[in-house]
Amino acid sequence: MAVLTRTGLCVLALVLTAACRTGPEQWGPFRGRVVDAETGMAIAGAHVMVLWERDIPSPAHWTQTFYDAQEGMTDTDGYFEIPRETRFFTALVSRPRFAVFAPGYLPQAEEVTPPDGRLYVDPTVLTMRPLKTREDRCRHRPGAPGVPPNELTNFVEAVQRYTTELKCWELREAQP
Amino acid sequence: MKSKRNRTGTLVFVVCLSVSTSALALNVSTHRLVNRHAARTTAFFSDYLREVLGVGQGVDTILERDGMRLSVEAWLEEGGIREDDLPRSLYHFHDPLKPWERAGLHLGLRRFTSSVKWMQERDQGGLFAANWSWHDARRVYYEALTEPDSRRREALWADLFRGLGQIMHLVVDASVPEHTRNDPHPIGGVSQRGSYEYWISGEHATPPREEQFVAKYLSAPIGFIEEILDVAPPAGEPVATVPIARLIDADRYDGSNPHVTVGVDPRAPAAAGLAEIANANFFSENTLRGEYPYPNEQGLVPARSTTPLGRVRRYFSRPAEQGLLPASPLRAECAAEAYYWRGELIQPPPYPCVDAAVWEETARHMLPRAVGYARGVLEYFFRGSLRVNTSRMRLGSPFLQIDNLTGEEMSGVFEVFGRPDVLTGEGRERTGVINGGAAATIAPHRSVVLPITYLQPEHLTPWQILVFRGRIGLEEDAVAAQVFAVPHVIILQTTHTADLRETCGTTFEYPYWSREEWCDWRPTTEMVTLGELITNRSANVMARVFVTPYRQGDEFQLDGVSMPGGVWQRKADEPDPRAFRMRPGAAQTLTVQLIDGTVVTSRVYGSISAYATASKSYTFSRAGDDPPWHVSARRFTQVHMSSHPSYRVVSISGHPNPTDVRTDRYSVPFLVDILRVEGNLPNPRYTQYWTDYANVYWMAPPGGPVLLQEPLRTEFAALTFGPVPRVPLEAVLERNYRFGELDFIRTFVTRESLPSTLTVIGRRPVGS
Repeated sequence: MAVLTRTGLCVLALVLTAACRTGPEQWGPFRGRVVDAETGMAIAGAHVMVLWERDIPSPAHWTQTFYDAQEGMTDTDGYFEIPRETRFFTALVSRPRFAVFAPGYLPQAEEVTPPDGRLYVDPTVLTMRPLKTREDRCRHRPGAPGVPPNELTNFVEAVQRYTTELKCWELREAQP
Repeated sequence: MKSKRNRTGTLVFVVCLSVSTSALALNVSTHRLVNRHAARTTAFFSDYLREVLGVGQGVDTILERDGMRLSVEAWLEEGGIREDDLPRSLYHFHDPLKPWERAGLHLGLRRFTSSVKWMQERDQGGLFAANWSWHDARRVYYEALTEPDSRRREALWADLFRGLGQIMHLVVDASVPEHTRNDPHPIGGVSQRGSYEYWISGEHATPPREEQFVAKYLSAPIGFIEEILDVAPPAGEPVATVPIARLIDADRYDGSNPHVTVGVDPRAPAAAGLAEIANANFFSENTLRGEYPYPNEQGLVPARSTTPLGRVRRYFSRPAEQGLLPASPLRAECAAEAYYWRGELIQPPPYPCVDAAVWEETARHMLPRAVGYARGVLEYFFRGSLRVNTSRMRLGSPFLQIDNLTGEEMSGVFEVFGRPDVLTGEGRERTGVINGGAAATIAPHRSVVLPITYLQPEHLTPWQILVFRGRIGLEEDAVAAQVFAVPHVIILQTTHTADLRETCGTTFEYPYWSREEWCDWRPTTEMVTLGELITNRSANVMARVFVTPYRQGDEFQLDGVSMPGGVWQRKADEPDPRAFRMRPGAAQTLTVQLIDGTVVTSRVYGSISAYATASKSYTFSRAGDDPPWHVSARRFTQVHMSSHPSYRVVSISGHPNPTDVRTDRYSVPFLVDILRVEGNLPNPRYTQYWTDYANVYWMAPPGGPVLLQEPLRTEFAALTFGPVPRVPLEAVLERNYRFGELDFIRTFVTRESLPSTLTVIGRRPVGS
């Protein structure tokens, strides 16, 4: 009984404390720069997405469902910015998850300044490693971001177009 | 009371804090990654999609359903996500040490169905959930293979892969110790470091970390020993009857023999279900105190080590050689870790006996297995392997040879569907009925030849798919398929024209006085054969076309273009040739080699020659024998030809086959008019006699026949005769089709009226 009471209180607390997450690390604006790991040059046209999910409490284990997503693209200097948007009813919304897609590149490392700064809030540089062979590109081809229809349409279409053009089905994937 | 309020307030504060700092509640994202890499790390799956099912772009094929356009791989991921929709997640537990009836999550008064049974529950729906069981996947698979409407079929394919993704989710959950030891963990979500699942999702929360996570945990799956899928379900089990349940629980581990959950080395496959491995080898937070026989404290080695948060903590490790997976650490000492670290208050983990170091070690063993066993779902679902040998004729009837390439018996109904418009959105149309619609059984690695009745579908295509529905090994209601092509070419001669050499002369005969003028026409080497190569035009089927023997000076043209050496070889995607021309065009063989290796040959055949006479004669007989005395003028012609056995003669020189007209105006056997066309192969011929004039003396004069000699001579000398007849040297032939062959052609090649007429023409020299 005590466990149930405590669990109920926890859930109530989560709802009541939804407004706790209002900082820029939660809702942005998110900024960063995407560069080539080998040359240090900016990668223009890289697609950046930020995605939030909402936890669904369950007696067994919590699960998640899609809450919201935004996308942006790097400019010629490799910079991107995803503006902050006001949201309500944010109970149990997770902190943001990021994905970056640049055709022919693989994310390698993120560097925040200062080192203990907030990712994509404080100055952040994402370095991406160029994938030089078709086999390598197929092996590391991006997956779907897992969003409902009409969300992140530019990101999703770019990934699907890239994957289609790669024609990885022509290569027998390596059997581990 | 005050103390209680304080505790509540503290709890609210802690929860608020934990939620505000809990970043990475992404359990479903882990399922997405595991499903993705289960599909990617097996060449089998993508190859199967392309080569067996004709899904051209394999796992990258985009499928649309209700506005969602996702690749096959992404639909598997979607299934991995959606299986956690409430209340489905309550059915994701399985305790391998309990009977399956009682192996599910047990929450006080309520016991939920075990995941092995949930996976095969035919009615998962209830009030809140849809049906995504194994049986639903089989049903949807069959519908996806046979649905005529392309948009609806695409949606069914999407459903199939989503459904398989949901089944993979159940298997993957069996890699989580909590799910195999009846250990619900409802508050793990309140802290990013609160549970195994949340810790894992935190490990791949940003793009670079995801790549590192994949490389570390997902890129080298550990599978299982396949014999577990040959284990029949427990006696009397009414729901989980398909051996796919053995991926979770193979009933090998009974609580006393944990070594069966380990292969020959820690990374080797084992002959055990995934839940058995997780249960026997790893603790969960609330099952550390002897709730389960293994693991236990025996043989654990304590050691102090630095925690991921930078403190020193006491851990317990299990060395190798204990018959279980080595783990360092296996668990942590149970102690709270509430402290300030780097100026920040770190909350007490809700599960103080484990931490990231323990979870990392668990993940190192179990995540590669999660991928390997999830891959097993795809491999088992698509294990049906067939080969279709192109339709063949036997005893005049069409048959299909089907090879069972699997190691399991297949017993069920086979169907064939055409796949027209394969390149632009396939249709589906039933092509034929196999074995009269009755079930057939094929032993493992054996073949069967079954009769097929063609249904002459509306759209013709060489691209077909064989669909099987029935029992495969221990699984009832299984489905398998195999696309195949029936590339076919019909070599049809349309004309054969031969230039003829003419030889004429005159002959006199004695004692029957006669004068005969004759002509003989025989073919020269100037022969030209024209023809067509008829295929289904929806796709190119020819790889090579050539003539043998090919001698210097011969000509071989395809679509008006000369083929040097008498050979055409496909270079790229150029269209199949349609018309051929050959010179000399006789006694040669035209061979068409198809892209599937089939060879079709046809002997180019045609020969026509003629002989004709015009004569006058008189007879007299001293003995008064028959025939009576007469003077006559006659003409005769005969046309010979040779014909390919697959043709029948329709007419020769304009007279239908057969013709046999005989006119006897003089009652003299050799003074009859005859018109005869005989179509007997291989040498049909046309024969005609004309009696232009005859004067017959039936009674001898009193002085005997000798008295007639002079008048007969006079009449003979004055008689004009001829000319040598020159009938048209032309024969019309028609292609003969064997029984069933025309049905085959009308089903797979063309239903148009075939230009099956072959005209053989003999050309006399100009001016002759």
